[in-house]
Amino acid sequence: MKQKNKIIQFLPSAVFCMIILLIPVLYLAIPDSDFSALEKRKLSQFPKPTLDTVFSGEFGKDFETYLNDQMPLRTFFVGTNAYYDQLVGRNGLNGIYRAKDDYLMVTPVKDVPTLDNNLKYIGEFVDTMDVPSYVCVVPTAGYIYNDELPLNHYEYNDDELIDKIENSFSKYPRTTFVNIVDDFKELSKSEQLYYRTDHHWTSEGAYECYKILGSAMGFEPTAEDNFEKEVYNGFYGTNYSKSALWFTPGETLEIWDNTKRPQGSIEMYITEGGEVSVSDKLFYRENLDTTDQYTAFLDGNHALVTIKNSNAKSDKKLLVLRDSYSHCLAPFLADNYSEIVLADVRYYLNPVSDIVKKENIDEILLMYSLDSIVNSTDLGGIY
Amino acid sequence: MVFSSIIFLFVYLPAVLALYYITPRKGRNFLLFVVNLIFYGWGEPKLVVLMLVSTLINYISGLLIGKMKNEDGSNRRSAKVVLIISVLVNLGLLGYFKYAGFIGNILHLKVGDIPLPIGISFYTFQTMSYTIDVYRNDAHMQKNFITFGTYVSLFPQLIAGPIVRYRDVEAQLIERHENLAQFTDGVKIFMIGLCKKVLLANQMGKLWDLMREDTTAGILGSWVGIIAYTLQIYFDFCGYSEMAIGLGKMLGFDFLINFDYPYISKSITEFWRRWHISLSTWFKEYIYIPLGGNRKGTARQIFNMFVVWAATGIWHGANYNFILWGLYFFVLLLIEKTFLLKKLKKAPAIVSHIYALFFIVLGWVIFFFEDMHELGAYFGRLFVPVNGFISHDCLTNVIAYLPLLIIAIFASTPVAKKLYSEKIEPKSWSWLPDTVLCALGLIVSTASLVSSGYNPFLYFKF
Repeated sequence: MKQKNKIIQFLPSAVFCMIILLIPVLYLAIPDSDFSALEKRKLSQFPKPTLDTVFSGEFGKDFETYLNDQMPLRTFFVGTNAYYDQLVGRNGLNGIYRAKDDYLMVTPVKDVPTLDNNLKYIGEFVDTMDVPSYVCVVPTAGYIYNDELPLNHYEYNDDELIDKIENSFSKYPRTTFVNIVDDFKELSKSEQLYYRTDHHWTSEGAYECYKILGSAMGFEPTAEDNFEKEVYNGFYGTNYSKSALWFTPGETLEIWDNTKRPQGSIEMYITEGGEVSVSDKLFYRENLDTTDQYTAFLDGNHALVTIKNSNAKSDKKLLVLRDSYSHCLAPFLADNYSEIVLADVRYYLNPVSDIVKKENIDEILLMYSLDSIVNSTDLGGIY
Repeated sequence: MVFSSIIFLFVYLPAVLALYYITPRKGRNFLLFVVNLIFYGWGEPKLVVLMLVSTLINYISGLLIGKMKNEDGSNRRSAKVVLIISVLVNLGLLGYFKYAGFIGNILHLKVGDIPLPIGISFYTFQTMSYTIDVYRNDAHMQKNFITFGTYVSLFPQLIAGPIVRYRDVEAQLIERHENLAQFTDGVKIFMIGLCKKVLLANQMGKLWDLMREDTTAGILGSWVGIIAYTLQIYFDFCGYSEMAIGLGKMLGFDFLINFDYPYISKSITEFWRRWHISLSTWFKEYIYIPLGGNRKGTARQIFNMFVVWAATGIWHGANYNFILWGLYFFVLLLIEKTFLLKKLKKAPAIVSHIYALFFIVLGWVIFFFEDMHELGAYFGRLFVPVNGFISHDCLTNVIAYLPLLIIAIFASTPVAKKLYSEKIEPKSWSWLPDTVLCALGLIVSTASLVSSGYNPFLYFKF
């Protein structure tokens, strides 16, 4: 063995010490942030130690949460871990598949007991309503674009699940189930129906669904050439944040605005926490510069949104019970209904049947993504 | 506090190392004593008091025994009385905090919730080794409370071992010569341990959870699951021991190794020579040999083995399954001792290797399930194809974890270590791969810790 007393042999300890000393220095040097844009949540702040919390161990726990949330270079570390997982073959175990063509897809929705509860809630609701109702469920991108998935992936059974949902509504005479699965599968060959980095459908996808709804609900969809398609680059959706695969390129987001509609015909009321705000626009383009770009459609999640169109093709009133997929579908429907009430029972806590009576609703549309209708624990609020 | 956490790696450790090396040598034990208590008290500060009481009792017992033995032969009996009292007090504390709930349950007594103090099984065994060794003249009494307290509470091995006997570190406690070469060795061993814990044990734990909870796993899935657990528990425990040894070296201590590639064993006897060595040694030194070991006839030897293995089982946890687990090994070792060991030596290596692994893996099933019904059900899943072979989604998980499974199996053999010590370590450029691997390991482990709140620590129960 050679003499190994050279100072360079100690380099591993020097580098080790440098790293473990550098991180605490960065902790002190970088100011704490309140909010993580990528995770869309508040970050925990430095807990004030008191005698009580220190001796109960509570301070210790809070301090560790604080350290984790405020970790310097956190985004770098989370990304490193995401790419390390890809390197060792673990794709999709955090709920997102890194698929072909820069697609990031949510892993399949599984049949769970909440679905049976949700179908019961919805079934009881549509059965007690005197007006016709329509139910439509949006399949997942992974099912529709199955070819894009990585080789090793869980099975997507969207067709079976949606069939099961459809069958559960066959016993209600005033309810029609609108099955878009086959059409979407066919359209997927030529159209971009879903975002690559987000779980939502694109404006294109929402528009295709709008056309299918038109033939089921008996309205005439506005032709595609009436819309001016504004294209925005650099959209990064929720799947991107979840995956932490930061090198995935951004994509385009389109706003389809019906420019042939006369100025001033739209009035939109947003009810949130008892306060009502009014505006004359359906698209909040300023939100494209924020971290939550998808809120460009109808300003994102609100408990209750009412859209009135003085120039609509009919004077019918529609109630939409929905999740966020309807943010970008509602502007299309606005052409055909003089009034659309969108209620999100995750946030709207009063009986929706009161809306039907009070607003003289003519038709009800229940528009949910497969994930929501299967997994949501808030649909008991439909009554 | 656990080693594989942000607070340990980036707050506690840098602070302790910096303070330790700016403190003059003679103040270092005192500093260590203080930071040990902070380390121990971090999660549950009240339990520090219990540890201090235990330390004080053993400190005084050691002094008394030492003094009585030093004076003349006449006090030997009194020394023995003090020793017996101190052992009973130690076992009493351990028994109360660890087993009262379990025993109360059996006897249908109301005991109430007793919090299990972290590491009590480890530090109680350490302090007992001290008083017994002083009595046997294998160690000197320690007059300095701080020095003794530093030994008992030494943070590297405090909560998950290895069980360091007082006599093995006696000299180092009084005088140690920290140096850069030892420190660098410490960093490397610590990093190997950290990677084993975070990058292998935690991940195998996730696979085990996936397989165990999946009712469609089938026979193949169930076997993959228990193999993942076999790997998890090894890398968790061995990783923790190596981190302890590495940290010890950074502070100038040399601890003995605790795991010696147990899964390459060709018999259960060999497995227990390679698994958790400090615990087996302890039981051998302080129970098996004092009981007469193998010197008092076959019947007595079998009885002694029975005592040791029942104790080993119950040491791991207050539950039937741990007793069952201990007795399971008692039976296997007895069979090996009577005839099988000779046959295994003649058999082809592959046969004895498969035999040993099969029973080691089945042992972990008993070790894991505290509920007897679940334990039985899992055995059923391993041998009866009630859920078929494996489902598609379950196979998807297996494939996703296959690279890590292969890496983990490879890492549980000495092949990499052998290659390293032959091809890299003697070379003058070995600092380059060492540095790169240490830095990468630290970054990727940190990334994994930051990314997931998933950091279950299996050894709190002991």
